[in-house]
Amino acid sequence: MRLRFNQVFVGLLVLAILSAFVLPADITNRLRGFQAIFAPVSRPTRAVASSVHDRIAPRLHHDTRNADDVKDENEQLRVLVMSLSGQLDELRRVTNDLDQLGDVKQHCTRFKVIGGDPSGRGSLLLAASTRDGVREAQPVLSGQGLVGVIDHVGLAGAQVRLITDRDFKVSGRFLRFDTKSKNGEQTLATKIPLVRGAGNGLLEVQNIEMKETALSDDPLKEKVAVGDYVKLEDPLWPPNLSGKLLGQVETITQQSGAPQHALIRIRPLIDLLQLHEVMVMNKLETNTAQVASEKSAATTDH
Amino acid sequence: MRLTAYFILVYLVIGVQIGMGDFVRVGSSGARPDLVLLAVIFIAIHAPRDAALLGAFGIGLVKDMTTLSPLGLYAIAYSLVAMFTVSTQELVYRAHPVTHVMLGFAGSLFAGAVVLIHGWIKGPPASFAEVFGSALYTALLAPVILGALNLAKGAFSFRRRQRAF
Repeated sequence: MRLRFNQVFVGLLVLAILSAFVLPADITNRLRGFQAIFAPVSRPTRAVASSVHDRIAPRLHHDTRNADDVKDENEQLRVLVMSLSGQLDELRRVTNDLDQLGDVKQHCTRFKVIGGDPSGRGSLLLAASTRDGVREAQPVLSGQGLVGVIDHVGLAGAQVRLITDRDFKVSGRFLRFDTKSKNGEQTLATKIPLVRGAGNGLLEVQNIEMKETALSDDPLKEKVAVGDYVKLEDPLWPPNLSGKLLGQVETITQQSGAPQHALIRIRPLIDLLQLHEVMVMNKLETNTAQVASEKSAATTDH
Repeated sequence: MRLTAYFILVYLVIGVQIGMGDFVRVGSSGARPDLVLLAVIFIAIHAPRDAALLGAFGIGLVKDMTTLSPLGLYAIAYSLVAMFTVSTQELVYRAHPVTHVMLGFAGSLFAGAVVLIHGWIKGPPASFAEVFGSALYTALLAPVILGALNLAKGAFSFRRRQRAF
C-alpha cells in the first residue's frame, strides 16, 4: 500500500515538474480560469483590507505645487483639450479610417476586480469569463492609462498580467507635458525605450544611454528627467491605444553592470494592485485595425 | 482527515489570500505573508503522512490555478514543504509557538527556493529579497494563524499516528 502511494505521489510530482518547467504556459492555461469561484470570500476580504489599508497608509500625493498654479494649469489644459477635440472631429469626418478608432471606452467592458495574485506576481483576478467575450491578449485599461493584458481566461474567471509584472514588456516613448507647445505635450526624441515590468509595482527601462538622461551634461540632446511620463507606442498593440500612459519616471540611476546605460524606474499613475474595477477591450475587432493599416499602406503605394 | 473540512480550509485560505494579499505588503521589496503555506503546514503537522502529502499537493495545485505562475509550481513547492513538515511530526511539540515560527520560516524558504529556481531556469526571475521578506513575515504570523487553526483541529478528525512501540 505504502509502495503504491509513493509511486502515485512521485508520478504526480513528475507531472507537476513537467508542467511547471517544460510545458509552455498556453497549454496548461486551458486548465485554468476558475478564479471567480473564490469571489464570495476574496471580494469582502479585499473590501475590508482596502478600507483598513487606506486608514493606516493613505496614498501619498507627491505634487507640491500650490493650488493657484494647479488651477491655472487646469484652465489652460481645458482650453487645449477643447481645441484638440474639435480638430480630431474634423479629421474623423475627412478620413473614414479614423471613424473606426474613436473613443477607446466604446470598445471596452467594465469588470470588477475580485483580488490579486496569491503568489505575489503582478496580476489581478477579474469576475469575467469567456462568455463575456473576454479572450487572451486583450488589453486592460483604467481611467489613468494601461493596466495590463488578459493572460488567461476560462468559464469562471480571468487573470490580468499587469504592466508591472516581471514578464511584461512593451515599447514606448518618453513625453513631457508642455502647455506652451502646439498639442500640449512634447515627445522626447530618445532611443525607443523598451519598458519592462520590474515587480513590486514598478516598471523599468534599461536600454537608454546615460547621455540621453538628465544625469549627463550633454546640451544638444533631449534628455529624460525625473517627472517625465512614458506612453505606449508599440506596433503590436491596437492603434487606438497608442499614447496611453504607462507611468511617470521616478528615479534615474546608472546601471551597475553597464555604466553607459541608465536604469530608469517608472511608477504607474495609480497603484494597479488596488484597483476595484478595470476596462477590458473586448469589443474591438482586431481585423478592424488591420484593415485600416492595409488601406493606408495601399494609399501610400499609389 | 475529513475532506469537507479540508476543502473548506483550502477555499477560505486561498480566497483570503487573493482578497487581502496586496494590502498587507511591507517594505521596499513588497514582502507579503503566505497564508496558504500556513494551511499546508497545519495539514502536514497533524495529518498522517499520505494524507498530508496529497493534501499539500492539492492545495498547491488549486493555488496554481489562480496565479500567473505556471501550473504545478506551487504543487511542487508545497509538496516539499509537506515532506519536510511530516518528517518533523515526531520531533516537535505541534502546538508550541516556536514550532510554528520555525516551520513557517523554513517552509517559506523551501517554497521560495522552488520559485527562485524556476525563475532562474525559465523566467521571469523572482526577487530574493521578496522571498526572504515573505519568509520572515509568514513566520511572524505563523503562531497566530496556526494557533487559531489548532482550535479547529477537531473538525478535521486527524487520525493519530500509531506508535511502533
